[in-house]
Parts: sequence; structure tokens; C-alpha cells
Amino acid sequence: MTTREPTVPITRQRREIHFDGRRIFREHFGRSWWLALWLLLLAYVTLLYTLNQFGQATLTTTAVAVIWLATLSATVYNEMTHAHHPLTLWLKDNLYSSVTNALLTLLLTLLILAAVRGFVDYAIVRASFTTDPDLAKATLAQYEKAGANWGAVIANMRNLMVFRFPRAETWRLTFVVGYLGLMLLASAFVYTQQRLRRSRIRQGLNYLWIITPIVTFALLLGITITPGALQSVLVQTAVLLLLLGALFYASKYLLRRFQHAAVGLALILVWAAAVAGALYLTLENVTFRLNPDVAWGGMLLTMIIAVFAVVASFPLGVMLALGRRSQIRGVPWWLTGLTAGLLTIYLLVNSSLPALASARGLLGSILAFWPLLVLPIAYLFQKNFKGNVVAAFSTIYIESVRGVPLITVLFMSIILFPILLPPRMEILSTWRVMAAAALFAAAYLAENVRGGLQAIPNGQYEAADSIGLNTFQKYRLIILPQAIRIVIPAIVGQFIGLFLDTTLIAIVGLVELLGVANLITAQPNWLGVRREPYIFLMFVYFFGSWLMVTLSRRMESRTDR
Amino acid sequence: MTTNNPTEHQEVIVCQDVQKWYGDFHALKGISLTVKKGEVIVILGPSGSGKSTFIRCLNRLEEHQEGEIVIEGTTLNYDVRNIAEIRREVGMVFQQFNLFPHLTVLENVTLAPIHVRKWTHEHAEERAMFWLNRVGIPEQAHKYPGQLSGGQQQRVAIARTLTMEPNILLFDEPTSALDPEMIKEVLDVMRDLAQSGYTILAVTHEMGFARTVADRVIFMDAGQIVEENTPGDFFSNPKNDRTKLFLSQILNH
Repeated sequence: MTTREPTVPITRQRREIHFDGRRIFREHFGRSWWLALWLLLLAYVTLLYTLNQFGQATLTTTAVAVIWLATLSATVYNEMTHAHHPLTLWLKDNLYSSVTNALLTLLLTLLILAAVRGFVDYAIVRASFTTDPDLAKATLAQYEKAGANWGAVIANMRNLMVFRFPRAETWRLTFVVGYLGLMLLASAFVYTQQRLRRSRIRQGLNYLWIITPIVTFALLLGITITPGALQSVLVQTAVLLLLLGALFYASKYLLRRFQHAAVGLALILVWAAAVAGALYLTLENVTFRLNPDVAWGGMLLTMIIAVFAVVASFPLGVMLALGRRSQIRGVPWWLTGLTAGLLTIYLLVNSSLPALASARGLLGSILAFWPLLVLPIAYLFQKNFKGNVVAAFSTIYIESVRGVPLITVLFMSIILFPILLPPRMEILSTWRVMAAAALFAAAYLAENVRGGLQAIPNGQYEAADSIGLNTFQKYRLIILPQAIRIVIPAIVGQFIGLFLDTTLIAIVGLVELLGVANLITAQPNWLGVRREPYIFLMFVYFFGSWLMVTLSRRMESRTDR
Repeated sequence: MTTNNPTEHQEVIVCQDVQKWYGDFHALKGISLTVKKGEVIVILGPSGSGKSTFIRCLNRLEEHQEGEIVIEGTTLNYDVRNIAEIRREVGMVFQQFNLFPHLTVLENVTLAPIHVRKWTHEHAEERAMFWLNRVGIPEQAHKYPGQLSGGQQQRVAIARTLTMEPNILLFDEPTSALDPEMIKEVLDVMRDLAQSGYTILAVTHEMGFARTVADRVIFMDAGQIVEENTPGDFFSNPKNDRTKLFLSQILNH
């Protein structure tokens, strides 16, 4: 045997290169003048920036450029030979899908690296972490370009978290945080367990959540038992709890036994009286030591306002959404007309005539006839809402609030509202701002929920009607669970906005997180500190928003069916 | 005189000259109908003839403007207590099933008994399983409606209606949204119910069902009852010209 057959390698076949230069040019460069121009520009910018970075950070830039070139050529080679490795396929799909993307990959990698390096340099390498202002000054002085002075943030951490909350009362905060943490943990477990759906544990947790706001607010307001009254308070609380529990089961029984609206109404009255009585008896023996306007601040205030606004705006928003869609029989047109007519005559006699007598100039005389405006308003009410008071109120409320920026509402609550109150009556700024935030959020929430309500097909209403559910049951069991599920993404988006918007209350004078940050930049012993508190805030708000997004995604995926 | 038992000939639905308008459109032009206990009535008619509107008036999904509807002695009017009373006794099955997609099959079926009849969960679930068995899908109880076929969904809807223990059943084109091979399973259930003594009013296009199960066939056109007949006479020997035209159109294709 002299000649040997050329052996074909079994493991590896020769790769055939498919290369069509004209097609590649046509598809990637020659499609239009704009594309060619753009690619030229992008290539130019990338080249310039890469060269620039070679000067600044030779090692990293070289490494990035080499990796980029190597992976790019491997991808192109594999593409031409039609033999992709999973890695190059991924690269082709995600990073090198076109010339533009390949160039952008290099440019953005270098930009991100530069940004990260710059930040790390500023925030860690050249930064000072000591809480001693003088030492910090000395540390920072050794650098040509001084980094962050984190000492200012660390030394002020208590201020950022709770601001002026008295140190002696810190245990209240610890207790509240621990309690809420436990409640959230328990809820995360109990509410996700299908087998606990109707268990007593879940019911008990529901009741605990109902009293949670009361407990939290009482503690944060510094509830204190009057000295010497401890025993009577304990006995009283025990008795009250027993009585309320008995009342609860009695009303449950009565409602089941006598299904009549009058029974429900009577029970509501009894409950209102019972709660008022219990409150009265309890408040006699306790005092609230802390003034929220003074004691609440920083992160604590931010959280209180955000959580309160979210929780309180929810039922309000749902009611407004239902109200706007309500189709109850309206006030008949003749009644509206009659009322408006009588009111106009009454106001003309009682307000216009005296005003006319003392009016100065033509304008004053004309303005004296303002009661005539009642008539067109009545006409518009009938024309647009057909006499439906509920729909009219909800619509006007929603649209007025949505027509005003939040900052205006906050200013109104701080500056205008006290003027409108009767003399010697005062409502603390904290309460006013909390109410303003909740009322503002409710209007937006109402529109979100209304969107969800519109997505529910008519058949759901008909089915609920046909099996005999009453209106309340129909909305509670059938319509709202579906409608709200649809709008969870929108609602969470709105609540994130609300959480971030709480920074606006720094402008109206309450010292929440941003307010504290502003104060830190003005502290004499941390002169020169400008950015650090705000960078810290950035991370806090980012973390908060990220948490909400993650939770909502969990909720969506769990309810996706 | 065959029997003296008053319940035998009890008139459970009495309609007197029922009129309804949608704006200017006169949808029902004086419907008068009396249904005895246990009767099975099939309502036929071309689309737009008002047959759906009529049976939806019987449980107040639509409001009639004139005339009188009395169901088991209760007059249907604006009084919500009467409406609630009637809806407890009258069950309805829809063309589009209208199951509640966010609840499991079992929750769909037990919802009304628990919240309207105030049964305990245990009792409601036991009755629900009984009816799910009867319609032949007990194994689907813990699935969601979206996971079932059309025919299974419609049978769940029937079980949901029956668990409320109504005396009167209204069917609004229950098979029209189903694939042909699923129609039979639903019709079998309906046939079974018709034989167990329920009073049934069904709007349907299933002529076979009308022919074999109905005690009376009612033909509606343009908001009026045109012909009322036994199924035998209705199909073989129609009296009215409009009925003849309708039958020739649906039977000759």
C-alpha cells in the first residue's frame, strides 16, 4: 500500500465560509444615507473615546478593547461559517446584532466602567468615613480631588432616620418596627398558604391588622398611662375587649338571623356608640406625650406619610371610582330647578341687595349679582349628571384634584386651611399634610380603579345579579377583586410616585428625609458637605421603590391566571 | 279534572302584557305568558325578536316598563326585596357562561349559597360537590374556569345555578357559544334537569331539544309571541306564516 486515502477527520469537519460582501454591505451600510452617516459618526465617537480612555486608564481600556475585538471576531467568524457556539449565539442576539450595536457595546462598556470607577473613587477610595469633623477634614485634605465626606451622613444617621424623636422614647420606635416586621413576616407566610384560607389564624391576623394602625399611632404619639392608673386601665381594657368581643359575635348573629337593613343600621349606631365610649374611657387614663409636629421627622415622617397616604387613599379612591360610575336615580329636574330658583331668590335678597347698596363702581354692582350663577350651575348639573349627586360629586372632586399640582394642595393645607377653621381651633400640620397627601392620592387612584372597572365585562355583573348577590356583595366578591387585580401595575406605579413625592413636604416646612438632608448641608461642623446626604437619599428612595416593584411583581405573578 | 293537588297546576310565572322599550325601539310588545310548575318551555325566534330580552326580564336583568310579572306569587317591581326574593328562586344560565374567573370552580359554585343563603362552608361545599357530580365534572372542582373547556365551563355554570336550589331555571342560549362536539354534553344535562321536575324556560336554537323535551314551544317575532304550540304540532303543523318561514329557513339547509 503506497497511497493512502486522504482521511477525513471524523470529529471535526472543515468549516465552509459563507461570505457575501455585497450583501453585507447592502444590509448593514448601504441601506440609506442616514445609516451610513450615523455609523460613520458613531464609529468616530467610539474611536475617539476609546483612544481618550487609553490615556486615562490604559490597562482596563486595553483589556476591554481586546475582549471586544476577540468576541466580535469570534461571533462574526461563527456567523460566516454557520456554526455558532451558545455563547457566540447569545452575543450575536444581544450585543452584536448590528454594526450599531457592536459599536455601542464598546462605547457603553467603557462609559459605564468610567462612571463606576469615578463613583468608587469618589465614594470609597478618596472618601472619609470618620464622624470626627476635624479628622475628616485632615483625611480629605491629602487628596488633590477630595472624595465624599460620609462622616456627615453617619454622624447624622439618627437625624436622618427619626430627627427629633426623643431619645428617651426610642423603645417605642424599636417596638413599632419589631411589631410591624413580625406582622409582615407572618402575613407573608399566612396569606400565601392556600390551606390557611379559612383558618382562625388568618382571621386573627386580619383582626390584628385592623388594630395595627391604632397601636402604631398610639405608640408613636407617646401614649402614657397616667401614674397610678395602671391597674384600672388594665381592668378596663380587659372588660372593654370582652364587651366588644361579645358585641361582635352578637351582631354577627343578629345580622344572620334578621337580614334587614334596619338591623344593620341599628348595629352601626350601636358600634359607633361602643367605640366612642371605649375611646372615652381609655383616653381618661392616658396622655399623649409627643407632639407629632416636633417629634416626627426624617425617615420616620416619610414612612408615616407615605404609608398613611397609601392605606387611606385606597378605600377612598375605590369609593370615588364607584361613585363616578354610579347610576342611581338622580334628583328630578323640577326639584333641582325649584331648589336653585329658591336659593337664587334667597341669595339675591339677602346678599345682592345689601351688596348693591354699598357697591362702588360698575364692577361692584355687577359682582353683587353673583347668586345668578346658581342657575347655570344647576342647569349644568342636570345636563351632565342627570341629577345624580354621587356621580357629580365624585367626578368634580376627581377632576379638581387632578387639575392641581400636589405642591399646591400641600400649600393649601398648610397656609389656606388654618384660615378657614373657626378661631381657636387648630389642627397640627402633620395631620393636615397627611390628609392632603391621602386626599390627593385618592383622586388618581380612583381613575386607576375606574379603568379596572371598565375592563370587567357586563356578564360578570349579570351573573352576580342572577345568583342573588346584593350590590355590596357583588362589588366586594366579584367586581373589585377582578378590577383591582387588573390595575395592580398602575396602582403600584402611582404609589411609587406618591412615595417619591413625599419629598415635596420638605418645602412646606415639615422636616422629613429631604428636610433633614437640607439641614445637614447647613451644619457648621460639616461645612462643605453638599452631595453626600443627597446621594444617601438617592439610595434610600431607590431601595424603597425597588422593594415596591418587587412586591408588586410577586403579587401579579401569584394572581396571574 | 285529573287531580285536586293544587301544586300540580300551580302557576309559577304569570306575565301580563309585558312591554319594554330601548329608547325608541319597542323591544317587547305585550307579552302574556303563564307557566305552570314543572313545565319546560322552549322559546324560538329569529335574532332580534326579543326572546332573550324577555327571559332576562324575568329575573330583572332587564327592566320592563309596562305590564306585570309575577313569579311564585311575588310581583317584580322596583322593590329590591322582591327582586332579591325572585333572584333567589330563579336561576339563570348564560350564553357566555359568565363564570367568575378569579375563583375556583368550587368557589364559583359555593359563593352564592354561602353569601345569599347563608349556608355554612361545609354544607355549601357538600351540595356543590353533589351538583358537580351530577353535571359530571367533580374532578375539576379546584381548577380555575380558564382551565376548562367551553362545555365544562357551561356545566359549572349550571351547577352554580342549581346549588342555589332554584325552582325555576332560565337558559339564555346555553349552547350557542360552544363547539359542536361540546353541545351534546350540555344538552344531556339540560335534558336530565327537565325530567327532574324543574320549571324551565329556555331560549335555544337546538331544535332537537325543543322537539323532544319541551312541553310547549313559543315562537317570538318582533317583540311578540306569534305562536304557542306543542312541539309536535309546532314542527309538523305550524299555524302561522311567520313560523312556517322560520322553520323552512332553519330546517332546509
